[in-house]
Amino acid sequence: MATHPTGPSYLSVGESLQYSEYGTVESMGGHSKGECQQCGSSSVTTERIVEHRCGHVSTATAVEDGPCPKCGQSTRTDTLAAVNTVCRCRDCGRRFEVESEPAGTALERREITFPELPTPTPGGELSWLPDRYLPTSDHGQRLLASVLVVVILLSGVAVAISVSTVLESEQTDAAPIDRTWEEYDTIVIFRNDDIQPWYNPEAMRAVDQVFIEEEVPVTLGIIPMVGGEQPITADETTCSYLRSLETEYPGQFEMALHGYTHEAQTDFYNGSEFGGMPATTQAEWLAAGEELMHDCVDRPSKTFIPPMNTYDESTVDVLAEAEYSVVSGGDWFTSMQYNATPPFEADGIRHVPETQAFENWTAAEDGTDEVPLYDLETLTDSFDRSVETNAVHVQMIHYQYFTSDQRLERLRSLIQHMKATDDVTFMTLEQFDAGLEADEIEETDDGWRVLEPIEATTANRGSVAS
Amino acid sequence: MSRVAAVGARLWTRLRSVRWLSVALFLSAVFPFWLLVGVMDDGSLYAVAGFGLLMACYVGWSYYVVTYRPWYRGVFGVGTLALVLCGYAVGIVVIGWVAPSPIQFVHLIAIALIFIYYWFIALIAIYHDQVSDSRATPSPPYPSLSVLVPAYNEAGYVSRAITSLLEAEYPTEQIEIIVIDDGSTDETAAEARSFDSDLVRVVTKANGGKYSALNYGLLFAEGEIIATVDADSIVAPDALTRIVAPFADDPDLGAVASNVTIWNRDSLLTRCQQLEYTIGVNIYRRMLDHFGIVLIVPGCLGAYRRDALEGVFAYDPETLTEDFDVTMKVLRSGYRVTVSDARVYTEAPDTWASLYNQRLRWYRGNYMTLFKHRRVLVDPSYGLLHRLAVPFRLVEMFFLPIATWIILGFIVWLALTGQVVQVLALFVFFTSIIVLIAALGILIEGEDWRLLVYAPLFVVGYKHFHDALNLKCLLDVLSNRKLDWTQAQRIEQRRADDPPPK
Ligand SMILES: [Zn+2]
Ligand SMILES: [Zn+2]
Ligand SMILES: [Zn+2]
Repeated sequence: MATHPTGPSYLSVGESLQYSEYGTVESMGGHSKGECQQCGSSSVTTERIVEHRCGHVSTATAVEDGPCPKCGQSTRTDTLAAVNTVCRCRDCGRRFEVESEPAGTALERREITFPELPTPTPGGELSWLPDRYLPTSDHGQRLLASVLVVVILLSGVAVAISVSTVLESEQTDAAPIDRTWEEYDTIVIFRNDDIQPWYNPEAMRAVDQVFIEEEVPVTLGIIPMVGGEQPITADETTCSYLRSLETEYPGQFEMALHGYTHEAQTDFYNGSEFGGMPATTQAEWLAAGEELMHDCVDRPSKTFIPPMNTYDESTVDVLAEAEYSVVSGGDWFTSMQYNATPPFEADGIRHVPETQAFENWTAAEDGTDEVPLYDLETLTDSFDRSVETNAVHVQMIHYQYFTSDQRLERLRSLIQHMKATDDVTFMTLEQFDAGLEADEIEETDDGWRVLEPIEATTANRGSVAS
Repeated sequence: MSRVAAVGARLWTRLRSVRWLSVALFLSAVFPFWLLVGVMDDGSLYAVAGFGLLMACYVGWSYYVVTYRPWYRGVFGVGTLALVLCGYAVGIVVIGWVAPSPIQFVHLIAIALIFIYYWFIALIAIYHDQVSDSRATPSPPYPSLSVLVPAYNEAGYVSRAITSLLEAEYPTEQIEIIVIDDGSTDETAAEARSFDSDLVRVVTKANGGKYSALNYGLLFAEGEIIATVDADSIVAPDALTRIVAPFADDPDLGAVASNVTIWNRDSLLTRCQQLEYTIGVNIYRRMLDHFGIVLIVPGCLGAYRRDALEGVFAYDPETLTEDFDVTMKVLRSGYRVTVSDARVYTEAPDTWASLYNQRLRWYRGNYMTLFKHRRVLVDPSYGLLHRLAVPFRLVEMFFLPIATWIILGFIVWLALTGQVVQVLALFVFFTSIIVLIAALGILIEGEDWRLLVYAPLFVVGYKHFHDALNLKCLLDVLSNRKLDWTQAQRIEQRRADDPPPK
């Protein structure tokens, strides 16, 4: 070791001299006999080492007189703890302890055994491989390590890809559900129209809440570009709310397209958005609406609800072309147009029109936004008729009019009346169509046979489509 | 024309020097992240992307401002970042990207942190590994070195540590080994004295804790560089030259950390710990190393510039982790702290009970040390220590332990509600990220490839043990703040320094 007296900076030789007289150490005896171990000088002094209560360890002389250099606190004797007394060579500055026992004799040297230490290998340790597989050259080992990395990479990629495929067919792979055939007098489908951004969101949520609490599925008719001004995607609150319905209540809320701007564009049957428009325009609107739907919700359905409940032959052609499977207009209109009792299939699409409206527009006073609702009896009578005739009962509602507790209560009462009736089942338009398509819903002489739970049908179909 | 050729040649050499294997390994994380993006809804995706952008701005600005424009160091600091992040959290709820549910939030933050961990921390680590090749190649002349070996009841161990130090490459005229017997009740002192070498000196004192042993030993040390070695450690033959090498051309360098390796890898528990070290050292610490703000110079082996150590009056008694504490002090006094390739072998606890005791001391000490140095969090003059290292550490110590448990709860809830596929996806994602990070560490470090097998335990199991322990320690420290820490330290010190079962 180079001889440079690099004691702690706050300590000087001068100070230690104040503390102890030269030669004191000789009287202490011991192995060193007062000689410096390093330079052999006999000019050796002793120093008292103390610890301040802040943890600072130094010679007593360095701290006794003033505040502690480390913490600045007082160094009264009760704050200092004695640690040891050591020797220091005045010539070379070396500190050493007064040794009481000679070196090397106190203990037989133990046999020191070292454990086997792992050594790093460039590219990673491979020595655990059986010798015959281990390349002998450095180059070979590096190559093997590279191969290993590539294997890890490839397996990572393979796992990622296989898991994402599994995810896409998520519902398909879900645990197989026991499905059973059930018989019903009627099938009830709720259709909640005019879902749009910014408009009466409290009512929208309150109506959905009724369906959630009653555990009744519902088809939502969503307007993608209301009034032609703002796309629904401009209001992320509504879209994320709709998506939360999809994820939290899978199979309960169908996301259906309800026109494009929802404005009366023609005089077709006293006003229509699609009916009476050129086929190319209808196709454009449909495509634009569909794109917005895809941006807004996770899983738009292939159901079209034409605004004002009216559509023409071109609408049907355009829908069939775009692979829509259900169109749901008005009862009187559809029956008149096709001269058939709904639901029926015609021109490549299933027509499932509304049976009963909840709102009584004809009773609405001119010049007000207030639209009265039908009384409960009218609504239940209409439903009871469907039960008697084994007809599919499509109950249309418009969320925006359910602005009071009383109105919400009427909706709830109607649902409870339906649930209290024997042999009634509820589903969405999409589920109804998919069930018929998959022969999991059948019309019988005295009603309907359904392979329950019917949600399983669309769950499968949806994933195959995506 | 010849110029083009020259540039081409230089580019070619540059490309050839890139370690493509680790780059490929790093980039392959695109796949699991792509998988994750696939299952996330748009709102969460925007939210995470925005968060990442914010953090990138913060880190970029921090680096710029600390390196080039210290006058603006008060602008967009940690406090502002915290405010901006709170505002951001409210904002993403208001615009509807995220539902205002706590579990949604923790889940999102966890995903965001993994994004940041991987694409920021690991990226810097990888970059650092590529460029820092020649950094610490040891070459003479070597500075004078004093190795302090504090020992309390280390009979049977201390002679092995001393032997490894004596066998380590270092010019004998430049090294001294000072063993400090901290009042051992066994034959530690005699065993240390049995070495017939002028290089080894043994000093003894009454038991007072590791900090006081080191402070006392420092009084005898004469070297420019002070190394500390635990009495139960074994240093590699080139460890001493490697650990002093970075000091040579960097006067601002205050301390250098070592690379801790476990030698008793014969059980699941010790192998898990080795993987923990490999991931921690190679990825996280390499990033901090890049900025010279490594937070812990481990007690097993570390080196300090003498001026730096004495400038902060060496070790303090208040915390249970004097190595973390003293490193913070050195950093706060303006020195840089980096990592070297100096390797030290240590024996890891091989039972859950002894691991529990070891970590009880470490984690309590970590919280104590952070509380002690809380000023760093509010004082912009601490530069990147204030802007990056300590905030990262805070997230790691206060948020992550809670988050891992909440996420486990979330996953269990998903599983119970039958969403097996999502659970599987999340598990595959987290596991593949951990596997990749571990593989990077193993590759860079030349570690054992078999350690990869234990990576899934870092997603569920091993990690949760440590996080639960962290939370317990946090509560202990919070509820015991009035207690005499010195006293607590001494009791813990003894317990922790008890020799492991042989
Ligand atoms: Zn003091
Ligand atoms: Zn001397
Ligand atoms: Zn409408």
